[in-house]
Amino acid sequence: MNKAIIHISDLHIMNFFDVDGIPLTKFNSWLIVNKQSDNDRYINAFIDFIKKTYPDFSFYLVITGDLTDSASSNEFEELNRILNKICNDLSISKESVLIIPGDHDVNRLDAQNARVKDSNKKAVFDYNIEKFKEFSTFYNTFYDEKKIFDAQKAVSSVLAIDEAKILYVGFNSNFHIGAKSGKGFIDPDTLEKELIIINDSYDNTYTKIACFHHNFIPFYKEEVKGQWEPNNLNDVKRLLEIYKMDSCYVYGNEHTPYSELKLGVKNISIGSFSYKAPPPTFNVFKINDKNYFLENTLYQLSNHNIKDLNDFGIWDLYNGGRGEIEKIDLKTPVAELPLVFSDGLPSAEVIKSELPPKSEDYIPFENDNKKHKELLRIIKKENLFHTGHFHWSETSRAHGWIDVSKLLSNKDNLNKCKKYIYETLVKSNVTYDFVIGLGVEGNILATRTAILSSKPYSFLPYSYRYDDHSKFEKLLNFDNNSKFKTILIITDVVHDGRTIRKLIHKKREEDTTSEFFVGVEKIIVVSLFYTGQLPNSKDKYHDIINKHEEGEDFDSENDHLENRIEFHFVSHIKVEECPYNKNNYKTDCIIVKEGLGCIHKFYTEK
Amino acid sequence: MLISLIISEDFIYANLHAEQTISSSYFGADIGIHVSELFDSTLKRLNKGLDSIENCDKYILYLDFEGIENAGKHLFDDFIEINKKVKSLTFINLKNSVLKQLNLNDDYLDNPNNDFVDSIDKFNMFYFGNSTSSVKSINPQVEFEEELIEFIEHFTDELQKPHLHESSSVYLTSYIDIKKMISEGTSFFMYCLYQLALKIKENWDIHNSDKPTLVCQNLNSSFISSILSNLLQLDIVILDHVGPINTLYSTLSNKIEKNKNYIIVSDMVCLGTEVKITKNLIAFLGGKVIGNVSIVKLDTYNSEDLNRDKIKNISVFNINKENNAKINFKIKTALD
Repeated sequence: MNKAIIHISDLHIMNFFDVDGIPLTKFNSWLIVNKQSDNDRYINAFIDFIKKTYPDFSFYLVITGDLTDSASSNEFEELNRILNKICNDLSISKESVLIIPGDHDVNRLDAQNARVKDSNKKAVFDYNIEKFKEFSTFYNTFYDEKKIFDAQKAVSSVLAIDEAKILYVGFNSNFHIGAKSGKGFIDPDTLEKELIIINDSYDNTYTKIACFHHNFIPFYKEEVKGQWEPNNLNDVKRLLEIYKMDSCYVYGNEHTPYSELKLGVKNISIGSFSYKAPPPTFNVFKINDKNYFLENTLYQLSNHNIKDLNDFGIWDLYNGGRGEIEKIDLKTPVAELPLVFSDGLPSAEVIKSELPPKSEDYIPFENDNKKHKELLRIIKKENLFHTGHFHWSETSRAHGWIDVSKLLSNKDNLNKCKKYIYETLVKSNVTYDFVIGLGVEGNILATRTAILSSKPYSFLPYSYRYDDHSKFEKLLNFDNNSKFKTILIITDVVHDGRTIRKLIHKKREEDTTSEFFVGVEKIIVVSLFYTGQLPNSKDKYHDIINKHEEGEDFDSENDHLENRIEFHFVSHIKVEECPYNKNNYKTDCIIVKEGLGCIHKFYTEK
Repeated sequence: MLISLIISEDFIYANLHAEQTISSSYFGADIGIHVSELFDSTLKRLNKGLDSIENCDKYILYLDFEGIENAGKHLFDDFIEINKKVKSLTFINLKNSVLKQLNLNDDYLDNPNNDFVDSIDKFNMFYFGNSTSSVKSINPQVEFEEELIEFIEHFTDELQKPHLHESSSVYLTSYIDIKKMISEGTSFFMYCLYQLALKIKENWDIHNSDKPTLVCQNLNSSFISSILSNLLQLDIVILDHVGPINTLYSTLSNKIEKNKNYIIVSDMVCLGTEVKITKNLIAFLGGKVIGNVSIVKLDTYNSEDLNRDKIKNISVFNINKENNAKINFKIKTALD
């Protein structure tokens, strides 16, 4: 059966009376405590729309806070009735519902009263149990006491969709909401402990989607800052990154549907389900478990000026163009990968399991080759090799680097390097159908080969620097459709080949490069320098940057299996790397932790 | 690769100096655009390239000798071969001194239609073969500009809704895809770079000790700079990168030399934000920016304000108020 996640937020079920007990004359929400029949009309329209749009689907329901307007008991009672109706009518089991509280679900009066009664005074917002008393009652009742709300926890609850290996993690970001309105805050120590437990329970085969009420980034363009306390936001984001929960963040709160890719993370703001302005919206994420993604569809309540229409209008597809995230990529189960390739590259008939044959005239690197010696001479003379302690990204780190940019700045050196690349290919009698220059330096080096070979040419940024480039810079501008069987990639430096494998396989927004490589039989990579470990036998040089199997240290998020690469390099300078990995370099590498020595600015951080 | 071919309804144009420059940059001595002698290898490439043109014998072939000061030996046979493939062969901008070096037989020297200008000792038009009848005269610059605007139009995507410019606070109605030009129109793009190299040579002294260094600051610009370095034999400096998204990682102080001259290489200059950022960076580090070169530049000033730019701006194609409507290129803001 097809499956989909219905994501609603900010219902703001509100009282009919104001705090003085006087009936209100204006209601900001379509859902009012004393108007059950009107509420039912509203909810029925939603249920009918879902049934009609998604026949034969089973559903999950996610709600990201502000379920009520003032956290009063009667608002929660009506909420409970409405949610039960939705679950019954759409056959959603309570286990398939994830609820997190918003700042409007904090009962401010209860929090203030708790402080008045307490002899050991603390900040009003620290009375977590008391301020969430009404919410807890609703929550525990709704889940028939099978789930109990713990107001002291950072993670309110999780929703696991095991068949598709999806884990929604719902966070309570209201730790600093007290008598006054406040910004998002989660205690980092509490958060870290709970993230460790979650990761112990759900391994890295799950795609983890983090849900908050408060936004990390402002979607309202008028706002300068996000809705989070800045220092705490840095702590929270760092922990999410360390514990690999940083691929997709979903928020409520702003009532404005929007989405954008920010520093490689998908950020999705869910609009309000029943607040009157701006018009209500909700999202449906259809699970595509064949191609491993969630398809994001946004719906809006609109009045099409149809006579006799419900006063609130009708649900329809949203056509406002509010954002760029059309899908959330899911992790591809390793067991289902075709052959040894990753990222769902299709069909055994397209990709062969055996290694592509090595070029017959492949000439392996020799220490005494003239080009290598000349490059060493220039590097030494112009002092272009730098030692120190460098971290360029969470996966890229070394104790030395070659200033290729400076090397290429001299016209004679540049011309020499371009020729070395071309001659290396010619001497090994390498043939290819398409040329790609990788990175600025790769693009500069590749021009000679591109012109002399008269093959189609394009260029791309390094995969770890995609966020620094506009969408037009990331386009290859060619479809392959099995037309180009052998691809040549020219770059300046290769260390362990992960950058190349990521280029070939990584699926991202605005990046169709991985599709281009489907059906490619052989990938020739030529670099000016190789800085990794040389194998004992020269017979294996061509195979250095293939990854045939997952070892102990295999990083399934940032690396990919690949066996089609034939590697050539002009010069070899072995560079050691910092021994810590992406999970512990920030905490265990003393150089990074204490800011000692020469730490290069991180590509992945701004 | 032939870079200068312009195929019109009834004629083919080729620029021999442009083709010789490619030969001299990639197939022979590394002298790029400074070459002045025509070699047989270039004519052989031209001859081979004509084979890929359908119905080649229906076209008049114009070979432009502008920039050719000397002719190598044994070129006559190559011209004979080329002539066999086309309807007729005409040389334009041919110096008398070069004609003498071609050692043509008498049968090829006295066509009454030849247009010789005594004062400059040069043929505006020289017909290869005495029996060849007269053909229309063409202006290479006009032909290039017409081809160029078609090229620009081809790689300009009209956007459904205005696109927010990455580095300036404006919206654009169309996107000129320079990267696509490089990938899909490589040959003509190379001819554009040849034209740009000629303009750089004309506008700045690239021979003396103060010769400028080319500054590349993004992916497109790195391709352009790499080619220009070959054509002009100039050093480059990589500022990675200033645009369209401005993120600099590397230390710049070891790249920019005090009092050295720099020319910023851009793919497209819209409002010049990236150029100004780069110029200020270089100036701050003690370098001297003497100009900016680009493939496409928007002339957003009125003519009386053109001198407001403090550095010389040279481009292959300028979008101005006379031609912007043709490619529907407009700049918009949220203001009325």
